[in-house]
Amino acid sequence: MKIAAGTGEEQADLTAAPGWSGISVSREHLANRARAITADAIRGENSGLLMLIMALIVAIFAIVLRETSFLGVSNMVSIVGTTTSITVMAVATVFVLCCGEIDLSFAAVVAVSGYIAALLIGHGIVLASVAALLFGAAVGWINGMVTMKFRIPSFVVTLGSMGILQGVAAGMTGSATLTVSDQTFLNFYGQGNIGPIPILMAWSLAAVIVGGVILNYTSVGRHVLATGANVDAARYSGIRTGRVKVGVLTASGVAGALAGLLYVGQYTAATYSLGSTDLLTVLAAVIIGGTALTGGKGSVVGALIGSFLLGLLNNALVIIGLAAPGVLIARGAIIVFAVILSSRGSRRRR
Amino acid sequence: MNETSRSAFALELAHVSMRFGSNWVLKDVDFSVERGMISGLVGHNGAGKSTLMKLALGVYPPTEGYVRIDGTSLTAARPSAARELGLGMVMQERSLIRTLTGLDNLYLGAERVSRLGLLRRRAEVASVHELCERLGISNSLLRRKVADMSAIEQEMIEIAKAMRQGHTVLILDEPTAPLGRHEIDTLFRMLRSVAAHGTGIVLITHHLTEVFAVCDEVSCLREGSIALSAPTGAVSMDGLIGAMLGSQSAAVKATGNGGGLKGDGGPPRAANAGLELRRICTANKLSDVSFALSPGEILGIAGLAGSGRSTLLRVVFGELRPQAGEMLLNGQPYRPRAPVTAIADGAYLIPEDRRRDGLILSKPIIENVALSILKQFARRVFLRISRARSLTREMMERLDIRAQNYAQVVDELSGGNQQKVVLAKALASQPQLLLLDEPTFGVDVGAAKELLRYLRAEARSGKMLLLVSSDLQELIDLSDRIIVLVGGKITTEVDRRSADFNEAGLLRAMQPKSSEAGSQI
Repeated sequence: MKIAAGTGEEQADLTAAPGWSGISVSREHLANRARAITADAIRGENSGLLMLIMALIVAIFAIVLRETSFLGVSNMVSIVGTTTSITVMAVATVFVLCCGEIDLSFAAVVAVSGYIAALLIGHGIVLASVAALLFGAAVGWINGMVTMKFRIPSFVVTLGSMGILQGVAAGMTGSATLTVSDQTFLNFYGQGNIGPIPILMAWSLAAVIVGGVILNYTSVGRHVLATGANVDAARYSGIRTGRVKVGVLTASGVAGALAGLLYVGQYTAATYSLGSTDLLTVLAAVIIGGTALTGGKGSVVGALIGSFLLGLLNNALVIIGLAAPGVLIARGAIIVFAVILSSRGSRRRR
Repeated sequence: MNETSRSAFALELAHVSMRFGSNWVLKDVDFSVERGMISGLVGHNGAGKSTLMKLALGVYPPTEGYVRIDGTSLTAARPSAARELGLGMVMQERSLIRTLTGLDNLYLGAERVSRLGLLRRRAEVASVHELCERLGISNSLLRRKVADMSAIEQEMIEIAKAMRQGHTVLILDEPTAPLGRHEIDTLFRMLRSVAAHGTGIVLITHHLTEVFAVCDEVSCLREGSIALSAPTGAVSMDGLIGAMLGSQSAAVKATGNGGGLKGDGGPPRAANAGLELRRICTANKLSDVSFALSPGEILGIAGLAGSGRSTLLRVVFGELRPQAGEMLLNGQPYRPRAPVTAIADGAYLIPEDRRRDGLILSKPIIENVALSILKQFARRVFLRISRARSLTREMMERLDIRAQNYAQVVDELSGGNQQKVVLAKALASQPQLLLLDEPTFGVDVGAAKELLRYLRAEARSGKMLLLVSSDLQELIDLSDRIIVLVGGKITTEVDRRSADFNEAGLLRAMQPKSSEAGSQI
């Protein structure tokens, strides 16, 4: 309960500096921060402007679609549900980008970990889940170690492992679909409720709270940001930057595996195409949320909002009657647009 | 100095000598700072200043002698050991993380965390409260991100970061370089207050006026020995310059080396030929810079770091656009929009950092030399490699580039040979105007001499050379005329006939006006 209150406060100062639980917040401070947020939005810094534009687009859709169920509570709840996997991966990706690396392979972990869980579900939900998550951790750890030991850009390493994993996913069961009927598993990862709250919404919230607290309120978060902003200064301050990077990439693999479990829970089946378009969506969500591709700066709550806005957009396009190809095109264009806007702010600084 | 007791010394380096291989970098140096005192440390590049400070920091142990911090001997050669004894250092290079707040930077790598692993920022603020109050750092500054801070605020955070760990000795290496005049004022006031609380401060600087503005005493290193150590009240500017240069070199060297090689007293000036700058201004560096340069002439630019030397070269090379003023090249308006148009008009920059801006290190010599003139080798689509090959061979011979062959990767060459490759690349585009930024930096003495000889030959063949160098002797040897930049303005112009065409004269001219700096404190 206490932690949940913390995120409420965070949501308020979304585009400003990481939250300050330790220092009493004066009225003057709040006013200053409000001014900073407006200034950032105008500058395009932290993509505040972009989020505004996204919200505007969604608002236009809301007016156009006012006769439909688009704005209904049940539709909103279902959007949060369908974006859960994206949100989980986006939270991890915030950390990866913050420490100056990139992971292209997490979305390819999704399908393989879904298969692993579906194959092992006969041995119990615990074993199936642990095996899938360990697999994700192993992929991420190997990505990190190869990046560190051989000093190759993580872009190349994870590009390679993405290809390998896509092959593994297709080869594992000959592209067949494996259905899962274990009700405990399905309830836990997709269809259940905690009181009035759908379990998927709870997963999203949990991911954002854990990620947000780590990034803003722990030394691990400081070390990740410092490593991404200035790796030499971080090292001279006594931070083990290599360990930070390996840890963050491992977490990214685990997030991909968890996203796989959540998809299987929702769709009651594992297929090789699970998560196949998620790389683009997750990066778009994270960038819209104000995380810098250049490292050192990021927002977990921003990633949640980015993910939700994209879900809304997706949903609206589908209701209008745009098919999957159109949605993909729109998403790709949004990424480029987001990067243009977010780099405008930082370029002016120099 | 009045010695009260031993422990009154914050930092004591006694009879220290340091040898690298067979080379004595420091010879029997005594340097000490009392608590509450600000001690200036001056000397040329390579005089041993940074080695001396590295001994104090515990980067390596002295070959002879000892280091004491607050009366305790520094036994282990570990930076952390020196830090534990209370020594803090502010490096020239900024060490802050721009995307984090001031407080997070102060505690980076040494965060206070609760049992749950959460940061205890309130405890952090409380434990630096006294320090911050003394330095004039407000709580709201601690809360701001470094990227949103001004230069002086960043400097304050740097100092606080160094002093959080230890406040017996504080060493600052060129702290004023990024600061404006008013900010320097603030910094000096802050250093005074830090010293008043019993910290001994070492200020390493090239700006001699700063020494007189803020220091209680000054030590000057020359060729590894203390040439002068006295209270600032007992030293004059000329005395300090004399100590830096050594008595014999000050006056004599003026006309010796370069003059004979150039021969005839100065090239004739054609009315329209050459480069002319008229009242060039840029946003925050240059104001009202005007000069003319004729074919065959070498014009030196002297100035302290931050005086606008490199900015001037970048303006002429089209990398920065001036806000006001105009440039003429051979009588025609010259408005380079980018380096590519500057090169097309016959200018070429040999940059300060050759490894970053001058060369593609992972590529062979031939590809570097041919880089700027690839078009000349193009036949429709494909490159005629044979022509590039013969050009590279010719250049390697002309500049005596020592390498296995033209295909050797540049990264494997020595610094001197790398710089020759940069020069070859520049000459390949047959420029009429060569812009040189520290052309012999990081090059061994032999190769530096050769490079200077080639540069002179280029001038004799009618090229214009604009030379920036921190090595005053090099400027004097090579230049026909030297202009001195102080704070972005040309304050002095000397030629070979002037009385001030020597190191002492230039050094004096490079200092900001003492009336301005003296009134600061």
